[in-house]
Amino acid sequence: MKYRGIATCLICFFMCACSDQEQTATAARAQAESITALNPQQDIAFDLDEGKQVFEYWCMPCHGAGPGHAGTSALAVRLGDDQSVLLQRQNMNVETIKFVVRNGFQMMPSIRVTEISDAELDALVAYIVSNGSSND
Amino acid sequence: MNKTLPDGISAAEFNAAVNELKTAIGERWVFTDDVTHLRAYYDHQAIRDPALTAPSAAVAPENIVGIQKILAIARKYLIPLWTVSTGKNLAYGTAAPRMAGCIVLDLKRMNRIIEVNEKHAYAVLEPGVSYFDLYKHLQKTGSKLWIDCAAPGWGGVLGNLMDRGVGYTPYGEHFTTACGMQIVLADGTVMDTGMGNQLGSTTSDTYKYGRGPWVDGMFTMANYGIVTRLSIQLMPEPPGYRPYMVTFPKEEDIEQLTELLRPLKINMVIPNAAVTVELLLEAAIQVTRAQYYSGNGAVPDSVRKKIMADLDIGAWNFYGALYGPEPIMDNNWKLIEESFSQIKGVRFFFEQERGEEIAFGYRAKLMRGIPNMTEFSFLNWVPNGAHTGFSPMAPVDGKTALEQYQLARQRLNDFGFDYLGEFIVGWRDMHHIVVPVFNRDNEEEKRRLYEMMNVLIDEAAERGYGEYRTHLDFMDRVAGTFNWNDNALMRLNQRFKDVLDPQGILAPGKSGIWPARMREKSQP
Repeated sequence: MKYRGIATCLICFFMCACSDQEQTATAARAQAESITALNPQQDIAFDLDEGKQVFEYWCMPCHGAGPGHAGTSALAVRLGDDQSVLLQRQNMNVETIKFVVRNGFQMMPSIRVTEISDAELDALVAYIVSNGSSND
Repeated sequence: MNKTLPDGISAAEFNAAVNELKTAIGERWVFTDDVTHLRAYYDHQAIRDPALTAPSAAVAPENIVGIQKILAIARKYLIPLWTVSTGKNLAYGTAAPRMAGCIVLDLKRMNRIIEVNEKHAYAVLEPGVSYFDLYKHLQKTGSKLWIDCAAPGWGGVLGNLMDRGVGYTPYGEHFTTACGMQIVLADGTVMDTGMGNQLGSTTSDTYKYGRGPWVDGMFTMANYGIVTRLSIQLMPEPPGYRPYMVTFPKEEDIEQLTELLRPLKINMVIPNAAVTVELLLEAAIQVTRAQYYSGNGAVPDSVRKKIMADLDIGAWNFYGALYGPEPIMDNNWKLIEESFSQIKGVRFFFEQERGEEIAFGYRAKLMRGIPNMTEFSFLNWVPNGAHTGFSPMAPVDGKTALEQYQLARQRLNDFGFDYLGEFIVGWRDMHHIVVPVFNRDNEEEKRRLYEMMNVLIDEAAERGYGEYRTHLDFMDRVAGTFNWNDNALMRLNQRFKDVLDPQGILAPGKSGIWPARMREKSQP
């Protein structure tokens, strides 16, 4: 019972000392498990810092060159092989890219601002219209 | 176009709520402009008018405190929220709500990988973590743990598990790998499930059940709370990995191959969530329908035969993998080969023979947890392609597999669609995933598809086949097929809903569960 009382006091301490339940749970968890806290948010922010990173993360899985890329295959059917690889196209328009990203187009679903921020979208567009050369 | 508003909420009330959200979360993370940002929360693959599931706004908190503030505002104004994690629930509604006017609670910003534990092989993460995120993180840190991913690498680890999705490794049944959640209830209470509910627990990520009633399952595919953290078990990298493909020449082979598969699965000779892929889905990864057929209606048998010959694939194509030390893989392969060899015309392939091919290549990645987006190449089957999912469950039973296949294919063909589908084989069950592909611009085709889905759901239920998951448009109908004893289970669901979310602010209509204040009103 004594131990239980101490535990209750500890809970009360956390409840009182922290302004919200999240901090309580997190503190308790950290104390109990010695969490090796990572900070992927920072990593991801770094990865997405340049248009190239945004492209490689979000676009490349479908718009890379070669077989097995759904977006590249779709563009090949619609526009021909020579217009199928995004980074090799010469006619990419800034506003069109932005519209497609936010609204989706044909088979491609839209991408939200919580996924690609407006600033990252600017960097992405710059990277695409430069045919991927700016970061080479 | 009039602004979509939550049901029963005036423009003035809505604007006041939005202003409070902006104050609470920051103006940058509250989205109301349909042109600039909100359109991305619509269902891009909608079958009906997207306005029927259009949100009124979206809000993206970065932590639990933000969620609690949002909940307080939702309770104050009685504005319903629709929670998404990564919002990539492709074929089932993407990031759109079941009911127009909901505010989407977008948890993508909560994307921390809180812990990766190599010793006990688990990770603790937040809703915004995608398969790509977790995979990249494990690669970057030199981890020897694998992930298990669904077909879209964009998908959310937590979100997919909450919808009881599946992957393709031995950890393919995602919900069974969950080991404790943190949940925010509608009143703002934060709760840890399982052992995590004990202060100082040393087993919160290794023993999932805790003490007393185990509630985790209640919060999956449900609208009783918002899951903000998940502990998930990960598979240690095995000493060996050999993906393989087995082709079967005849459509009827699905019966015998499934019968042969059952003991191999139950005895764990085939340890992973393997797939039996039908001809046209296998083909659609690599070719378009127009390359073979320009007529209306389903592709005829003569064309199917040509596709099969050209691509050197089967009427059914089974993908599995061997895992473990070489002697174990050798022994298991003997059993698998001997078993499937009973079927006339069967052929076996390994990576050295077909690894360069698109279909084999991406399947080989999925079965070892390397996320990618290749599967969505099948949307190129028709121009401007989109898809929905008809996903009945089946036991690992040959007769049932054949009957479900014949029913689904016949009905799709009747309504002018090609059957594209596969069976994802678990231990004792199969997810029969049927993915009719339609042209997003063809309104007549979409009307046909909507009608067909309703027919199929009813016909399947008459035969005892229930869907494990469905698109927003069919949640009520599918829920209605689970109706034994005067809807006893739904009435229990509703009682939970009324107690846990009395104001009905969380995801109204999810899985057919509506809050009391909306229950009597017919929902489109």
